[in-house]
Amino acid sequence: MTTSEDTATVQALRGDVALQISRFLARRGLSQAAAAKLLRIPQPTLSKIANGRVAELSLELLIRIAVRAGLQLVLQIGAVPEEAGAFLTGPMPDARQGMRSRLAEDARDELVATAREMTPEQRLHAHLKHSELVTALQRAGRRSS
Amino acid sequence: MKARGPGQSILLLLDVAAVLEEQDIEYAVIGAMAASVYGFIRATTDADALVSLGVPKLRRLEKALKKAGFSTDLRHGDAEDPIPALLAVTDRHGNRVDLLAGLRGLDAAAFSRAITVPFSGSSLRVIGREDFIAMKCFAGGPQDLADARHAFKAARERIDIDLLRKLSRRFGRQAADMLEQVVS
Repeated sequence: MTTSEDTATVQALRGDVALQISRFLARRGLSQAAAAKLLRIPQPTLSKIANGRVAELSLELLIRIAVRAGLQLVLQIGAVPEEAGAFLTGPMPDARQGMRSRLAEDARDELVATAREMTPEQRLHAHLKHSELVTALQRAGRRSS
Repeated sequence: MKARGPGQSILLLLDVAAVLEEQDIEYAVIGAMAASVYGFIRATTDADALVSLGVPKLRRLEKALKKAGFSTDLRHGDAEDPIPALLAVTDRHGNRVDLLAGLRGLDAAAFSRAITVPFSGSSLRVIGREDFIAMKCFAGGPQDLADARHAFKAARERIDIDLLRKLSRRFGRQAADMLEQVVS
């Protein structure tokens, strides 16, 4: 990794940590003044984080703020700056949006469990049979309309 | 040719894969077929595969496929498109294989992580589980996320979560956000 790449990696981490803090604040619905008080930072600093203007903020400061926010983050670096990022761990506050049906989820889980007992080759054969059947149904539908 | 009727794109893919191997071109099956390998079997009318090939060489491949008796259609993506070029291969039954010449953000090592799956007396190279999940997070539609969740959930072997994070982050912050939802 070159010097410019390590700088870019740190920049990417700064951007991602700031984004996670900013999302935390949005979820909490706090005013900037209340959030600044909670995180023990000046309001202009908070404003910079919320607007993604993090070039002047150190990664260490951002990590301290994330800790104060109680965020559980994993910081990841890789072979190239594009692989660097900050990831939330633990349950997501809005992990599943839209309708949730226990019945539908159980039915899907049963299908996954059935497929799990098959070898990859058997799954590909099942995929072939399923595709042949669906294509035949589509053709039959076209003929009858 | 292996396909003898409609709904057999996977058999067409076997023929196309044989041509790719003859030409020494690396490829990896993605899409619904990879989803089936990784735990959720669902039908599809076409097969998708990534090829490790630049656009000029794709033209050479198109000639080889035509020579082998397939119909082809080479399309180029615009500057915004994450796929630089796509070579569609079809047969007389309406089966279709889309060969994608790369994907923006894809780790070149994805081809070396692909797994070999025996099928119908032959074999196919299928994208690795972590690469598959990261790509589905990049695609980001409801079906894509369902595929990613099933692939994550159905894994019998240990998933390399560090690799998964790196791969999804290569596709952009949005893909990384999707991954966070998938693994939660």
